[in-house]
Order: sequence, then C-alpha cells, then structure tokens
Amino acid sequence: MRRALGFLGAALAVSAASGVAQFPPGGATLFRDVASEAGIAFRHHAAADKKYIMESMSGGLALLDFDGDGRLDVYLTDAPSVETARDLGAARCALYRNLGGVRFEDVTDRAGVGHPGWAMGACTADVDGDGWEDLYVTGFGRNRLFRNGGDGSFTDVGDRAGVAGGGWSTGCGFADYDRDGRLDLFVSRYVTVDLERLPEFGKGSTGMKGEGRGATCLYRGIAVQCGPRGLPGEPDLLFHNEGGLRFAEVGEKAGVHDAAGYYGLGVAWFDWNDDGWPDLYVANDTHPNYLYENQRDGTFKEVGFPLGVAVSEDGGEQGSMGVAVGDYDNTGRPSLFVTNFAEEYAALYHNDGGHFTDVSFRSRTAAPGLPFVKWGTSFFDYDNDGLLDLMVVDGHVYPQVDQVPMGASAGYRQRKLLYHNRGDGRFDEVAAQFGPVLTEQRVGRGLAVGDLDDDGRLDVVINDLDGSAQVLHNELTGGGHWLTVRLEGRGGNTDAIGAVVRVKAGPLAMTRFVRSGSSYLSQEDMRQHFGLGPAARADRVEVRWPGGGVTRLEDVEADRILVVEER
Amino acid sequence: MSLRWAGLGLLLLGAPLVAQTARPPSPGPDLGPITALVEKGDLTTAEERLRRILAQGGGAVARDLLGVVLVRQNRLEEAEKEFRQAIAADPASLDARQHLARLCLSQKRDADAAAELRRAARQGPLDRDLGLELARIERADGHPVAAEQQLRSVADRFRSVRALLELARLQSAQKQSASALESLRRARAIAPSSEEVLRASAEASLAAGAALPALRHLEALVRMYPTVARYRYLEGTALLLAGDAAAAVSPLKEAERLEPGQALTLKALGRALAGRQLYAEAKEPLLRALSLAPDDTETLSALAEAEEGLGELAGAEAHALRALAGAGPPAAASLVLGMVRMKQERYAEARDALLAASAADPASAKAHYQLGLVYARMNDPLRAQEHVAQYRLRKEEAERRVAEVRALTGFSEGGMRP
Repeated sequence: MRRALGFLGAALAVSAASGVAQFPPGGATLFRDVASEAGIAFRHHAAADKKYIMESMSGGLALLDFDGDGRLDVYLTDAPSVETARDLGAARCALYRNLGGVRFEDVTDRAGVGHPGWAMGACTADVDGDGWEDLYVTGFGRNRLFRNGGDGSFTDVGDRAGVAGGGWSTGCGFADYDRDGRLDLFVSRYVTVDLERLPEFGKGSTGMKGEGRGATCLYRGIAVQCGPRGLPGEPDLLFHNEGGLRFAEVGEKAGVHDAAGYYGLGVAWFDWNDDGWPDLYVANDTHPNYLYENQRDGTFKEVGFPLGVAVSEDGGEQGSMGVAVGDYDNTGRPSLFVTNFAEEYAALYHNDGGHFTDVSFRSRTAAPGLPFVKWGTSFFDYDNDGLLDLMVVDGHVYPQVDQVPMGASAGYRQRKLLYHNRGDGRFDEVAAQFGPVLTEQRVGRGLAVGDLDDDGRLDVVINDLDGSAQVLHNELTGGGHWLTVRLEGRGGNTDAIGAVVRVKAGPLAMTRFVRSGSSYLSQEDMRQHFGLGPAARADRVEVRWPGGGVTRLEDVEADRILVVEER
Repeated sequence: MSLRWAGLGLLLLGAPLVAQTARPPSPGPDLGPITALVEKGDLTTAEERLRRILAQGGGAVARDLLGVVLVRQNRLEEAEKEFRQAIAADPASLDARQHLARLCLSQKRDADAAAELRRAARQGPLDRDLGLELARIERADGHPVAAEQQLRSVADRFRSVRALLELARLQSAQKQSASALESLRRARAIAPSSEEVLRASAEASLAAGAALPALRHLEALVRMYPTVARYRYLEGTALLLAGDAAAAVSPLKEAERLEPGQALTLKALGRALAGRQLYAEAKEPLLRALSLAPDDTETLSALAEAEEGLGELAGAEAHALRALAGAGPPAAASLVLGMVRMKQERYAEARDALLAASAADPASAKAHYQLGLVYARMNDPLRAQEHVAQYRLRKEEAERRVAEVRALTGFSEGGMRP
C-alpha cells in the first residue's frame, strides 16, 4: 500500500524515470494501444441496436492505486442490455492490477467488484481515511461504495454508509465541501426510467407518470431510442460524510439537489474562485449546466448563468456529457472544458478570475468537434511542454444514424480529438498526425489520464461502449522534462483531494488541482503531473492543502515522482 | 340583352367573349337578331339595321351596339363617338362606359379609361377583367382603398383567384398581414394546388412571420417542383424564421446548387450555418453574398456574427459597425457589437449595444442571455437575473416554435436531441 512506502521527506524522489531527450518533441509516434499486450482484454457489453437510452450511456472508468504499490490500476465499468438486465452475469466490470512494465492482471473476482449491477461510472477516494483507496460505482438501480479492505478485496458498504442512492446515477466525485476534514460525495443523476415500462423504440409512449408529453424518439426522421427529452429527470444527491463511514443526503439543504430535474452526467469539484472552498460543476444533458458556488456555510449558490458557464455563447442549452478542469494557459486559475452532443460545440470556458468567458471558437477547440458526439475528456500535457493539451473521445448514441446521410455529423463510430496547446490561447487539432490509434472510428465514452508506467509520459485509458477498452501508452520521444507530485494528506483526506499544486520552472508557472471525479463518469490519476519543457529542475513547488496549510519546496529535481506529505 | 353582344367588341380589345356582369336587361328594341348577325360576322348588315333603328329614334343600347360593330371593323374613332353618344343618351349605361373604357385601354389611353371605369364603377359592378384593370390603375395612382374595393368586388362576384391574389398582394403591401392571409386562404379554397396561390401563400406567411403555415405551403411546392430553387430558398428562410437553423441548411444548400450565386440564398445559407456555429463554413457564402450586395446590412451582420464566433473581433466589429451605419434592421449587428465589446471588457458599451439589440428584436433569447452576463460583470445581479429570466422565457418560446416546425417537417437533430 502506498503508505507502506513511508514518508520519504518533503522532496523525495522515488521515480526511476529516464532522462529527457530533446525538446520540443520530434517523434511521430505518440500513443500505441497496448491493451491487449498489457493484459487488458476488457470489452464493454452493449445491445447492438441501443433501443433504450440506458444502453447508450455507460462506460466510465477509474484509475486508482488500490493496492498501494504506487502503480495505477484500472477499473472499467460494464453494463447489460435491457434484454439481459436480469442476468447478473451479463455484464462484468473489471479491475486490473498494475504489475509494472505496462502489464496488468485481472483481479476482479478476487477484489469482488465485478458485478455492481448496471454500472455507469466510477470515482475514488480514501473515504474512511484508512490509507486505502475506496471505489464508488454509480449505476442504474443502485450505487456501490466498495470499501478497500487493504488485502486486495473490496466490500460494498453502500447501503450501510447511506450512499446507495437509487434511480439512475451517473457522475460522482468526492470533496470536503464543508472543510470538516471528511470527504463528502456528490452524485449526479440522469432520467427516471422504469425497466418494466420503457419508452417504445421510435415511438415513446410509456404511460409512465411524469413522462410528460413530447418524448420524441426520432432523429432526422429515423426511429431511435427515446430520451432524454420528454423523460422526467432525477434530482442529484449530495452525501455529507458524518464520520464512521456514514453519510447523510443533504442535497436539498445544501442547494444542489437539482429541483428542476435536469439530466445530470459529468461532475467536477473544483475551486473556481480560489477561495479554498470546493465548488461544484455539473454537466447536464440538453439543459443548462450548473455551477454551484460554495457559500462556506454548508450551502451552495447556483451561479452558472451569471458566471457564463451554463449554456453556449448564444444561450443554447447543450447536450453536455463530460467535464475537464485545467489551467491550460497557466494563469493559475482552473478553466472548464465541457463536451457536448453532435453539432454542438464543446465549450471551453476560460476562467477570467471573476467570471468565465466562452473562448471555444477563439481557442479553436470548437469547430473540429462539431461533427461528433463528445464524451470523455481531459486536460493533460502529453508532450511535457508545460502546457495542458486536451483530448476528447467520441461516438454517437444512435447506431441508426449510419442508415441516413448525416450532413455535418459523423456516423455512429467516430474518431478521437487531440488538441495540442500552442501556448497562445489556441489549440491545434492534431489527432491525424498520430495515426489510426486516434483516428480509428470507435464509440468512446469514458476517458481517464494517468501515468501507468511512471515514465513521466501520460497515458490514456478509454472505455468504449461498443468495443474493447484501449490503453494508449504514451511513447512520444523528445518530450520535455517532467515532475509528478503525489500528495499525502492528513486526517480523513489522505488523497489531499482539493489541494492545489503550483510548480514554477523557468518561465513556466503551472497549477494543478487534486480532484475526485472527472471527464465522463471517470476518475483520473490523482497524482499531479507537470511537463517542465527544457527545465531540468523546478524552481519551486507549492502545495496548498485542503485545510489551508501550505508546503513550499525549492529547487526540485525533475523527471521523478515527488511525494509531499501534509504536516 | 346587351351583354350578350358586348363580347363581340371585346374580341378586339382582348376581353372575355361572354358577358360577365349579371344585370337586368335594358329596355328598348329587340336587338337579338342583330346580335346574331354580329356573331356570324355579318357586320355590314348589322350596321345597316342598327343605323335604321337609330334613325327611327333607337336608344342608347342600339348606339352602344353600333359602337361595338364599328370596333369590330376597326373604325375606332367612329366607335368612340357612338359610345359617347350612347352615354350621353343614357348616362347610366354601364355597358357603354365599359366598352368605351376598353377602347381607350386598347389605345393605351389609361387616363381616359380610368375616368370611364371610375364613372362606371359608381354606377355598378364592373366586368371581371375591367374590375381588375381598374384596381391596377387605382393602385398605380396611389388609391389602395379604391383598388381593394374593386378587387373585393371581383373576388366576391366571380370567385376570382386572380382577384384574391391581387388583393393579398395589395394587403401585404399595406402591411395588412392578417387580411392578406385571409385572402389567400380563400384563394386556396378555390385553387388548392395552384402553384401561384401556394407560392403567394408561403410568401405572405413569411412576411407575416408565420413560419409554420409557410412551411406547409412550401412542403407542397417543394414536392411538386423539386427543381425550383426559389422554393428551396423560401423553405430555408421559413426554417430560419422558425429558429431551426439546423434544418434550414439542407434546403438552402439545395437552392444554391440549383441556382448558384444568388445573393439572397447565399446570405440565408450563411445565416443558417452561423446559427449552427459552423462559423468557418458560414463565412464563404456570406463573403460571396457581400460581393454581390456590398451594402446589405443583414449580410454584414451575419458575417460579423461568424467572425465574432471565430474570434476575429476586428473584422466582426468593422462589419457590425458598417451594418449599423446602414439602413437595415440593427438587431443582429447590435448583438454582435455587444458581444465584441464584452470580449473587449467594455461592459457599458456592451450593455448599450445589447439593449439596442434586444429592443430591435424583442424575441431574441441570445441578447437577453448576453445581457445577463454583462450585468453580472457590472455587479448588478438583480438586472442580471431579470435578463436570465427573460432569456428563459424567450428560449422556451423559441423551442416551442421549433418543436411545432419539427412536428411538421419531421426534422430532428442534435440541438433538439430527442
């Protein structure tokens, strides 16, 4: 387990990373899909026709170090179809233990996390503060809180802890929103669907109470699955950690319960205004998105509209799916990137300090993605140049779209998008430069970024709805120096979720945020990675801990994993 | 009766053969045999008999008929003299006045014809063609009320589609949208598949801002005449009016394919693409449209919108200011200017431009959304909230309109994902 490594000092190098070659990168190979050779033979189950909405939405994943060996393990969600919903074995989520050297073994059965039900997504945290990473899995019907026993096995304590939820949960994330030292949990929920009375494919009527009129089930004249429009939305949930692995649902009291019943998907806790109190962003499908500003008294105020992050620039409500948070222009402030439906641009909301500005088109991140239905996404520095790049995985929800010409829209299977940060506020979409691994047509959903082999180059794991999972191993040569910072927090928040890490290296001043829950229903590496470009040392590393304390380190050697413990 | 033979003279004047106005027969000698001679073309005999009758004191009706016979012989001066004498003998002779009017019209003497027709109209309902003609003259002379009266009369008496179409055009020009639509409804009842009626109906609906009825008419037109670019253009315009830019792209592209290089089509296509945030694609047709109509304020505004979307703020600002300096509606250009000022953090100016946009286009949700943002940035949360509330109302209204349109067209797509 991670803590077994012991505290190695405030600036302890534990990485065996190689030295850095030239900068900037000159290689043409960026990623190689090594899933098969790495031993990850996971394939998400999905009904071929996707006649019902719940058959199109699963596919989150989590990167976590469940066994404390310092290496990132992988958990992938799976889901049955409506037809196989009663068969407990129809879908099998999978936990893969990282053996090192980009080799994994399937430890699902031993861990007991293979059959959480109709799984949608996952997030992680050391919920009980025992030093072992726990796993929360959202799903249709109920959610699971898999408590890590520290011996390779997990036990579902969702019911006992009061976080099983119910209905159709999607996104999730942990944060200590009231700064009481214990991690709380937010869960977004989507629509109310009754498996016994499903909207009829292409027609819609169920007679279900609250279904309302106007459940349209045509897409450009062809019959498709019904929803979410016309289906009743489910309120979201905020679970306050009462201690002793017990939670109380306080969503309404805290003002984040989503009285309007919007269709919640991606979730991101982040401190938008840098006041030290976690705020919360919720991506809603076909409705305005929420930004809940922490009022520092256990409540939140919804400020999505006045801050300019609720809808598109022209006021359009978009089909929002995933969320990425990142300081892509090194201002020290977290900006938001929100993925949306086809022919709706993915929105890049730049954090200007007191508000956000929609810079999607100006940044050149909008137009390339318009043909695609966009899901998992992440800011990460794939070439270690000190600038956060951006990746998006895509795939339609309706297989039937391949039957008709879609004009500007792509078909069912879609390629990925990779945006290289130019450093001037603009991005170049460069996926085609890196070959079929990015341009192959697939049906992407979850995406999570982490350094699977601790070589300082960030890898990407993707859960496809209709295909095998991908492990995109970063093999770029000639990238910059790097530094990965792993935090060990005090008390109940051993992951230091909510901490802010700032690194200064020459002209680069970068900021990262330790977060639980991200992308599309996924969990990314909580270690914070910094590309340093040509700098072989970081001039300064500063950690602002969730409790407000600050740790500063000077003149830190690069190309290693730095462990910083909260004192 | 006199109208039985009135048609003979009309052969020359291009009027209908058959009498059109139903009135009781005039008193006087039985002219039936003479009318028969005229119909057979025996004009000489007919003239002789009429002159005999007139020599014996025959009345205005015989003199009017003699005028018709003379017209048939192309002796127009003599004919006019006879018509005038008939009118002098019986100032209430509607037929003689109408015949004289026809003769004047055949000689392009519109003023004389108008004078006679106006006098005739005071005496009774005109024949169908002359009623339409008088309406045309009245409209040209700036007398829309008199024109409308004539058209209504013809429409009511003859179920004339032509009169109803003219009436609708007149009413549209008078901004009487509801009346125009009602006239066209009556025309459709008479000729439901008439291309001209459907087209006029679609155009009038568009002019009245009624996208849904326009689309109903255009659906039929596009189906019947799939290669007519104009109908595709109108369909795209109607969809734009309804706020369904996504659906508008396809028919406008088809219109452009069928008849390339039309400024109106290019402008509408650019607006539709910009409405889908396909700003880069939108610029090309808009630039072409602008090259064809350099001062078109709508094109300038749409181009400014596309440029603003692409972050080309200098171009957006320049084109928006040019549009505002023009004579066109300022809503779109003001909106763009407001958004440019927002990005320049010139919030007071942004607010003013956005308020102007909102005033010019009260249905604009986008303007209210942007006003919500600008007031928030000006630390005026109350006004910000008010505008967000206004935005929501207008958004709901726009969505309702689009839903209605899509219920008709069957179109659905990402923006309105089911």
